[in-house]
Amino acid sequence: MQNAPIKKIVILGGGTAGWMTAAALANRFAKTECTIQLVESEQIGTVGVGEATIPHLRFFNETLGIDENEFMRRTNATYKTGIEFINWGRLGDAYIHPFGEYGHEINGTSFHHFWLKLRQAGVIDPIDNYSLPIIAAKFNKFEYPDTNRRSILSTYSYAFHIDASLYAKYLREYAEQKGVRRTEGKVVEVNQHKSTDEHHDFIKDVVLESGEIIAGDLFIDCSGFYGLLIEQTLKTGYQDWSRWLPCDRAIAVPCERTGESFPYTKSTAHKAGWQWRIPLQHRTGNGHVYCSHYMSDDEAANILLNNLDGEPQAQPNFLRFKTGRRNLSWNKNCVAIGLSSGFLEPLESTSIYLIQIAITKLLELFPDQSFDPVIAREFNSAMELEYERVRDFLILHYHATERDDSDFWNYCRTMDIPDSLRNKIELFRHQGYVVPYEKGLFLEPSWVAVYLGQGIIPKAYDLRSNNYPVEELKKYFEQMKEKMHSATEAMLSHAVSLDRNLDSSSVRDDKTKKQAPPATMNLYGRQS
Amino acid sequence: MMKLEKIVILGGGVTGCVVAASLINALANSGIAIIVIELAEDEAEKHEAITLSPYTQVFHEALGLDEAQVLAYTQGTFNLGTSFKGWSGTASHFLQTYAGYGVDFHGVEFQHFYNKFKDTQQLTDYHHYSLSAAAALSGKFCHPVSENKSILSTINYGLNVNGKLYSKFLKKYASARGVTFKSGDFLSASINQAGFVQNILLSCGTVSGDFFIDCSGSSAFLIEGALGIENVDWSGYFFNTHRATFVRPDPERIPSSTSVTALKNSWVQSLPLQGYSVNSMLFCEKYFDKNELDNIAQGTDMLLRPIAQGHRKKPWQSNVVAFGSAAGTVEPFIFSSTDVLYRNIQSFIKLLPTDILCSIGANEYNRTVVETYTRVRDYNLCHYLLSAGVSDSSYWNACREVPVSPSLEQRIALFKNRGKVIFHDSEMIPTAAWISLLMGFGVMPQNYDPRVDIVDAEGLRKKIQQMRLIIANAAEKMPYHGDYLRRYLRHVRK
Repeated sequence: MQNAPIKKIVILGGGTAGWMTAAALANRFAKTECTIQLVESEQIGTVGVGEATIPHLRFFNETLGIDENEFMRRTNATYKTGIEFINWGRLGDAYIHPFGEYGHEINGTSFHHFWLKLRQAGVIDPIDNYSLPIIAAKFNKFEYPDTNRRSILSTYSYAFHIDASLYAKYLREYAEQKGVRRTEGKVVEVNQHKSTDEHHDFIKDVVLESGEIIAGDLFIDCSGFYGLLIEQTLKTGYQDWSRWLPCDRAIAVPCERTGESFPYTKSTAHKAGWQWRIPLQHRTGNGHVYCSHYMSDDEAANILLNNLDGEPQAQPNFLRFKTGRRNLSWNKNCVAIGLSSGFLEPLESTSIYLIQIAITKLLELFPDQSFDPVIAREFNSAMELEYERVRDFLILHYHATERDDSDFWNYCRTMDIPDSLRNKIELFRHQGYVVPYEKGLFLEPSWVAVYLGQGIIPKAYDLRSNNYPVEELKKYFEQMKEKMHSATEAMLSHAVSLDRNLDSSSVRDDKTKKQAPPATMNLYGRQS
Repeated sequence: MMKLEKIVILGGGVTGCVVAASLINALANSGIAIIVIELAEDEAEKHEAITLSPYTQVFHEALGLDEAQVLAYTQGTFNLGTSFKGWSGTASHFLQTYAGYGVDFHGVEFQHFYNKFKDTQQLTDYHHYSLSAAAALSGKFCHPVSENKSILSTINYGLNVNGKLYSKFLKKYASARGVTFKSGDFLSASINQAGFVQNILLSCGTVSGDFFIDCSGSSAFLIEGALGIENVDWSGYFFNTHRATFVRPDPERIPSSTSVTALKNSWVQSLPLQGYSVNSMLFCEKYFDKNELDNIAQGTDMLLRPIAQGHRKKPWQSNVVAFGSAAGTVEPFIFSSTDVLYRNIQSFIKLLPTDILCSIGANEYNRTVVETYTRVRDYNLCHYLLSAGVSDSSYWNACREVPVSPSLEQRIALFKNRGKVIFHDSEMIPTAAWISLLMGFGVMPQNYDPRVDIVDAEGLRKKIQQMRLIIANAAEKMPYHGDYLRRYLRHVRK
């Protein structure tokens, strides 16, 4: 016997989070009696910094039945197979964190241990040479990964750079077509159920400036940092993480695109923060994330404007934030999705992912009228783990550095970090061990990329590597490197792939046009 | 810096031999010497029959062991899962298998569909939707096929082996690859100021080493005796104090599953081997009249041992790591102490230190192993909490009233509400096992995943009924376990 179902969902806020949620819920509840209403105000801007994504977004789109090429055309998207980090470990350093694994594991021992063994034997060769997405990115090449697990072209996955505001617009069309009602207006009052009701203090309705009252069973707070329902009404509280991630400002500005578009995001560390470069089809998105304690807004804006590839196309947009997480993402009958539930800087392009994972969990655990607390408890503990694990991975970027050229970097290098992270770093430093976990976004290949990329070279490696003699390994490595380079050479350039895949004219509808591979919830392509 | 050059394994029973074989395989060319000290205490362990869950197949493969040879040598049998008798009432019976149940549709797990239809469409028991269970119910077995579309691809199995023979088999493997075996009685260990074991004194002389592995069973000579690491005691959760093991002749047909049967004041596990079964009765002396044991033994030998569930607070301390019952003991349901052992060895090998003085690997190992034990504790606890069967017994009443850990409470509550099982890090028990256990014990979720309603109901109902038929037919056609085993082992040379 099912409990009484939710009949009315109200989504507050219409940015990326709001419309992603609306689209996913509309898709799920299209043929049911449940109605969905989204309230947004054109007076309130959206943040929309999350222009770089990770491969999971493909799974989201696929579930919604969205055609990938159509989506890319509508959002001015380009492909992305990784992020390049410049000047992070040391000034002048650069490495790519790829959407793919390094080499192959041998009998349960990860590739990097063999790489370390050779390194100790005097073979100094960047591990980048054993990652196809890295090599391809460096040559500005892109093609769909192969679905054949035996092919070397199956060793990576890909994501997109998109214009997030266009994505929200696109999803709005999708959601409205599926019956989501959009209401323009500003909320001026929120009413809660009386303390004598069964669901006391639950949100009952919101009142708009126009006087319209919108009641609902379930409220989704996508109102951004402000957290109109989750914080202003329900006083859920916020955990401040800025002692570990001290950046608290960002300036965003688009500029003209110059030169060929590259299939990866660039993240360049500056004196008190870092700058993103996100290539879209028609322009480049730029931003400077910095710490106001160590840098003034003017200086930050100057640094950004002096480091653009082309002419700026708009006035810089100044943003403020406090890194951290809402104590509960789900409180009573209100679920916070997006910035209302927490903020982590877009250093690893996780903003849209964190929206997506919250939506996925909400759908999995979708409540009924009884709002059994067991459901919210599970949702909250799952989201807590997601946020904390991304947080630790971000902190690693700041902390694992030798930079001592500014007060900001001196702080980051010497700051106290969470025990969970310190333990992870020490295990890698001592024996190349990457702490495994089941839940959470970034797994072994990502940790290896950042550790090695930022100069943490393990003192020892897995002893099982000694089962393979150095000479044999050398040969094996050479062959793999050769295979990767020749595979890259045969690949199309990113620009040509974009043209081919996104050309909607019928001329192109020939057999040479390849189909995008099925999407997975996996960062690294083929699962080994 | 202190380099690892010599590993001493104290104890050579099943645990010591599994450890020795794993280590020599992983470290064959690393120049590390491995020596095993066989103890008189090993005998206790050798009386056991053990179940090896499907996850140990990976281990056997890594060692390059041939399955038929293992079975032939150890009087072994195939094992599809565990048959639960009497846990929810005298006549109650369900099968829990290593395989999944049904087929997921549109990314939604099968149990949600089952839950939607079970009342209105009078679906039969949940285990009828698993070929492994259907086969086990009639004592049938065959290997899975790799062809994905065949129902026979859904079979998943483990092995039952004779402990004494299994350890002998692994000893042969390890000796052939350079592990030295010696026997002696443990006398004492000498420890340096930093708390590291330097050497151990045995009746046959002194043995020194860089790293010591305590496989001395419940004696725990090194981890407890020498280093004083205490046990985390689970007696607040579990009441059984003894385990009585006895052998019974083969029933007419070898079952293709193990069984656990709830009796009035105890429960019995039965493990079929070739020609006989090894049975263990678990009871609490407070609620059990030991005179009953004579009736049960029927004149055969019976080995009576105390059992205390729990685990070492730190299974790895300084240069000593404990495995097997020196590290922890869990009661044998579908996953046993041996399954925990295999899992722990894998973690240990990955964290094996080059520098023995560095404790960072030990901390990580202890963290995950303790977590694994805690999850197994919750899982085993479930059996007692949910056992609605034996009602007029003070033993079972006491078992049902033990405190529930918050993590288990949340897990059961979420399943009751939603049919969803939480999966934690470092968890050994797969989600499918939790689901089949809970469903088997009659915990039926109040709600199914709402996505179920998107799927066309009539079409789905037909599919589910069809599935049941396909499974029943396939099980019908499968050979009996004994016949299959005989044919499979026909050409094996021992």
